[in-house]
Amino acid sequence: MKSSLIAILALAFTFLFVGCETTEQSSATSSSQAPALGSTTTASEDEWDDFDDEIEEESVSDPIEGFNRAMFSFNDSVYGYVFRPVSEVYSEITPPGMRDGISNFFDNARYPIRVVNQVLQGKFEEGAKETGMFLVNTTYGVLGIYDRADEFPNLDVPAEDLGQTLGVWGFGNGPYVVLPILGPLTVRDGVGRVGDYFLDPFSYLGEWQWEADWSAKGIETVNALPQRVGVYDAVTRDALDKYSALKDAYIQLRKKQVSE
Amino acid sequence: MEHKFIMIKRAFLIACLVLSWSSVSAEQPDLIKKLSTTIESVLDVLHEEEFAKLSSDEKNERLLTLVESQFSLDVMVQRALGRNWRKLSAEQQSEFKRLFSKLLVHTYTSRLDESEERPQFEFGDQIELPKNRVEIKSTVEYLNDKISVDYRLFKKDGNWGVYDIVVEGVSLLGNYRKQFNSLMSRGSANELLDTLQKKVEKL
Repeated sequence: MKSSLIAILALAFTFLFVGCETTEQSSATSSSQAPALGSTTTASEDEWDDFDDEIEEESVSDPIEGFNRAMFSFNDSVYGYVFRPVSEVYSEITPPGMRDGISNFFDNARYPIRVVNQVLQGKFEEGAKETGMFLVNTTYGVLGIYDRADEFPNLDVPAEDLGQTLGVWGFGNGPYVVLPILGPLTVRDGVGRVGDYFLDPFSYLGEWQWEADWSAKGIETVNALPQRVGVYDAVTRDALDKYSALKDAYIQLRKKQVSE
Repeated sequence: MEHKFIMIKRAFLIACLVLSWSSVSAEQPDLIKKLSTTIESVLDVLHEEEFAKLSSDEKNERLLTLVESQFSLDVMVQRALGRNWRKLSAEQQSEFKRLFSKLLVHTYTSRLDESEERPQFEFGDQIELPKNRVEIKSTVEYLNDKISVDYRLFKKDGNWGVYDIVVEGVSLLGNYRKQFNSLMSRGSANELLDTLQKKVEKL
């Protein structure tokens, strides 16, 4: 099991070096051209050039767009027919305190992933604070069920993962991939997830009792559904091209996390 | 006597400095105040009792007026298409403007309408951006999560207007721009307008 994971990691690394961030070549010519027939420019084009450039620059390569769009449609149906109904029922039958408690418990236990990546990024102070928060939440927060971040705001630091670490180290995103059910990913983030797997305490539950890690994953997934569906809806509901909307939202969100 | 004179001179100098500094940034606190007033008014229309009896059309009209007062819809609409704007005929441009403005207003206000309770906005720093633009940071308490919402404003003819909203790092305009780029590369302008039309009808 583990050796095949390492093989996947190695393969993905090669993609990282090959797939670099490409900028979408705008087919339009430079904006210094005279306005076309009928265009009423309310703001001069030069004023907004840097805004345009900023946006065009952030395009992430999508070499398998056909496949991605197909996966996206598939996932969209899964959201519509499975995730959303399940999450609605789940939200109805569980009190919000319980849902928060469960997600807090899992978040707290993921401490090794966060602290290792903070150290890898050279964020030692954040690592110390993260450790502090973990200790507070595990004790005062009763095994992490209660998130005490409100009472200790100075210990509340942004979460880090290996995908972000690779970003901080200068790796570009790599191609964009949409996985069935799991959703959007870039190759860099995919490599990150595989690496973080080894730091995730729940990955080792299987060695203790084989059903344990599947049930833990199951509970966590269902519990996270209402929030996950909420975010998905927020991004795609008012979109004209849902696929592009989600892709852009994912890339921008990761970009922000890398910069934190 | 002399000492007093120097003190007065000093006080005067300090007063001048303070005045000039505050007149430069005097506009600035006003921006946050204006923005927050508009947002509170929008929230009023969406959440308060007195507006509950209005029809949804009436509500939308009020919201449009409020949003137009603070947001530069014209600029937002044009910037969303970016370089593709020039590919549209005059007719298509005005049609696009009409439809997309509706969609933008709805997108923005429906977010504020989602929760049962009225969202609480907290305004933070104001940051200077290049080319005479400004970013106002705020956070919103939503379902136990703090979400960052940044407003970007630019100045035109002495008036400040919002041209972009950035939620958790995702720029609204940038997001729509990517969608439009994708739609324009896969179809014609008329098809884009059709898609937009259908979307707005369903609102």
